[in-house]
Amino acid sequence: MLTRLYCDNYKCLVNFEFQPGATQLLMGRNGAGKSTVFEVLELIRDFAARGETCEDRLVGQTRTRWQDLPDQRFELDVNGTLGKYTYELVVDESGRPLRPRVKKERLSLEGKPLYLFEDGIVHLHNDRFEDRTQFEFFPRRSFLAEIESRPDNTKLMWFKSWLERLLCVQVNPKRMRSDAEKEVLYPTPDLSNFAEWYRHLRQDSSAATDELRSSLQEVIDGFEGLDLKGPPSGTRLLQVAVRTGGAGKGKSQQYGFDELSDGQRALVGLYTLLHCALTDHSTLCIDEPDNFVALREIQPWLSDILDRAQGNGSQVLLISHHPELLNQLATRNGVIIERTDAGPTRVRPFAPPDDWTLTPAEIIARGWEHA
Amino acid sequence: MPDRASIVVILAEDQEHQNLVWHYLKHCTAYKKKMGCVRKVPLPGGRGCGSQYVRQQFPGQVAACRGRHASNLLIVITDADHLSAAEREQTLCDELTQNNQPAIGEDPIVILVPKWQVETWVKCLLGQAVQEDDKDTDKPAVTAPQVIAAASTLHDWARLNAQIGATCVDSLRSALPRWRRIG
Repeated sequence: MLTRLYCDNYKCLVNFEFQPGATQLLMGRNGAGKSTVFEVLELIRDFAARGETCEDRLVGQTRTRWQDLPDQRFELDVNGTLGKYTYELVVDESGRPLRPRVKKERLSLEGKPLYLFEDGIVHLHNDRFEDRTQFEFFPRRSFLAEIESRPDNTKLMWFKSWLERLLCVQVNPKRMRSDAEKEVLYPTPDLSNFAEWYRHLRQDSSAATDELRSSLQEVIDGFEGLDLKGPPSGTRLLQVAVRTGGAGKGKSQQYGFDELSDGQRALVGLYTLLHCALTDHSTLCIDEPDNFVALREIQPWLSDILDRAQGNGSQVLLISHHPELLNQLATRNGVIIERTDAGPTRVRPFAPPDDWTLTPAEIIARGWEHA
Repeated sequence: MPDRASIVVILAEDQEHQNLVWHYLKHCTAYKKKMGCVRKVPLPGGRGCGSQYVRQQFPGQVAACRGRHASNLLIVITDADHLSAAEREQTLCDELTQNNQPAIGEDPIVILVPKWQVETWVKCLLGQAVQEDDKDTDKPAVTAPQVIAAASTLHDWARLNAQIGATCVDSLRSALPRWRRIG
């Protein structure tokens, strides 16, 4: 579980620290920096676990405009089954023309080193924290992303696995395609590759997709199941079986996934995240899950995802402006993300006076969360 | 009481109360596949005014349910605190009187009243021996998985002629027929 994010000199995040709980609702006005928090988590994941270079999304235009500082700094604290991991990344620019460069990258467990990149040299430590391997490495990528599982690096690999599985999503049903050319391990942030992700899940997590089918049968009228049609090795098309005329009666019809309504596709995406992405000790970040979904559908999904997270030790971070989510989560799990005078983003708990009987949504709508 | 209400409304004083009812409903044959028909009334923003909030909301929720032709069920759950369960229920009825509404008759309304805190119910359902008369003891928070497990046991205990656990506290024992009415 992510317990701390520190970020400095990245867009509006200046000397910014956020300590999320197991369930957290990020609230705040437009432009406050809520989505930027998710963006930072996503870029750290893509850099340190999925092998992206630091050139596209770090330093350059992403440095805080009103400062003139060279270094960007990112830190994560993550509570794992083996203790507290701390990950640090410092990026600056060097060369002619200036290009982003990793100045320092370090991973430790309970303060003891597991990985260090500094001055162009990688130091790999084993499970006994011994510095066993050193070599030069390219300063624009993370060697962490290259490391494969071995008997003596289980501690490092726990963190890498957590980071790889970290998902930051904003479901956009208009972009969720029906075609699955191949299987993919992870969904894109907008779930546009949903069919390809589902193709992988159907093979790899059949118990979870069975649970998904049961949930969708409850929330989508007439829904019977999802199916991939087409040759096993070629492009397959995601289809939906819908029974008209009531359960056990009528006739089952096949529809293309893209023939579902936006709201139905969003529901399929949200329940897939619930059943298939919220695995043990994972962290799932969803930006505005309420978009496109009917008012009546939100509470059951929200209750289910919170139950699941609390049941398997995973973590859910949500961004929302929706009254349903605010009322359900703000009092116990809400934080306000805010900026003053277009300055740096700050975070503080939502803590109205104890004797206020207004609902959280009404407090926020009135702007009284600042009281 | 309808066999299956088209809308179930939960008016609770805090999240644990709300969650216990929600998860109980998930065990009821009539609702477990239709949780979309269950509405949780938003909780207050302040943390110390749940009981007052329930009393404020109660007349409006009753009027809304009575004004609908479709079958509804209103479940209210609030602590007795320094009162008895009957006295707490009377404070709710007084709110109806003050709002010029008829007293509760055959209305599909279920009022559930733990003594000082619903955590006592959760713990006794989990098999822990608890004292419910002393408000200053036994208040450690319960976790969401504990509430889920407690709701399952509660559904078992609420069955007609069920074997009720030895740890069952008085306020819950007397409320079991009301839980049974829900389903």
